[in-house]
Amino acid sequence: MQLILPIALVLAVLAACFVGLFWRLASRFDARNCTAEWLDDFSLESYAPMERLLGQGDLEFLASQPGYRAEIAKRLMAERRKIFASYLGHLVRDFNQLIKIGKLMIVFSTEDRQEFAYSLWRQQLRFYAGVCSMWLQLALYPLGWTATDAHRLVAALTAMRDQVQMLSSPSQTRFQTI
Amino acid sequence: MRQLPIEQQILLVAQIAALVALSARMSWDGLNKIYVYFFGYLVVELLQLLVPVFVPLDSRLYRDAYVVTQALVICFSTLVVLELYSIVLRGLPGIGNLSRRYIKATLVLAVLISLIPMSLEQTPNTVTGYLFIFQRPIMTSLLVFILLIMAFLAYYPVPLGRNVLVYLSGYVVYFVTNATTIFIRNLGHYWSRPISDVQMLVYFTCLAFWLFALSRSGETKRMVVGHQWDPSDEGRLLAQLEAINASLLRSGKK
Repeated sequence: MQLILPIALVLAVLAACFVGLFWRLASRFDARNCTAEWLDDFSLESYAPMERLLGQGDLEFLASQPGYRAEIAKRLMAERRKIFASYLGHLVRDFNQLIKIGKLMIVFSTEDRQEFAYSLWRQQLRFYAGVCSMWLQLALYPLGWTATDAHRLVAALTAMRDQVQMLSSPSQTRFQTI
Repeated sequence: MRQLPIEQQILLVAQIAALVALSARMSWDGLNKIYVYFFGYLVVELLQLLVPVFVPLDSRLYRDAYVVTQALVICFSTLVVLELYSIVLRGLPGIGNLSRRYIKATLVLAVLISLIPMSLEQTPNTVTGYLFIFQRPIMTSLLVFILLIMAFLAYYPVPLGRNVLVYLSGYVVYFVTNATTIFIRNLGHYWSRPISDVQMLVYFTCLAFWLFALSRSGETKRMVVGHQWDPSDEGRLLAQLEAINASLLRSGKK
């Protein structure tokens, strides 16, 4: 009798997993959003400001100006943190879009893409770990932790773009019907 | 002579009717040629359900017939799940090797997970007891296998026929019920009647669901990536992929 509760618990977890997976299967990303136009518009250069948004250089310059007050720097950094967070959101969205394109190209490819699939998966893990660490750094920024490293995330996005680029092939029979 | 309780007699008749109707529907729609093992499974299940109609429940012949047909049902259940995934992943060379390796790893993991609760189960002293001891890990490993393969399908935009989703939903409910009820039995709780009632009712519900939800058009209707699929989408997606490819090649040359 004392096993009824654990069994019910395991069943509840299983049910939650299956419901979650069915929901995910039913709401997988829409391939119609993965367009060549998006890829043409995609540019890594738009993330260049990210690398210096939270840098100390501007603050030092500000501090050397006459009439400087600590509140000005505080307000400036609060605004910049908001802008940085917005950049980070865009970065994640672009990364996810590249992943979707990569997955589509892998699934519909006429050649075996096992290595690319592993590589994409590793990149994804590394990137999400980097994003989590960046959010943590951003949260700790007002407490004096100023060592944010946006460069690593932009580099991960570049690597993903390169990976997807490597999936493109000049041959005639690139994709297959299903 | 021992007889089935009245509610089980009703459910038995309902199950037989549903099995006959589902087999006929599958043959009519030509689905029996696509899902060969599933069709075989339905036939074996039908044979098993017909046994108590002709053979007395307390006879040795009934026990032997049950054990033999149940062993066949277990074999077919395994083949049905493997068949389903070979159909889903067929004709996708891009992820052919990847999915094969994933399935191998998944099978090992599923078997290992299913063996965990074995230490809690009682040592059987009857032939049917031994059968249940074997059946529970097989049903559990099939369930875990389905769960892990669904995770793969949720990750990659593999095109799924509507029928595949219908099969999956039915199997999940059926295997969860089966694995749980057999596990409770193997723990030594012999609430035989309510357990059998639940099992029969759930199985009938699954059969009815398959009967009404499976169709010939379910093979062509595909849930590819986030939306219902119609034939013109196929050409559009390929054109889209070609355009993406061209765009990547252009930016690669820059």
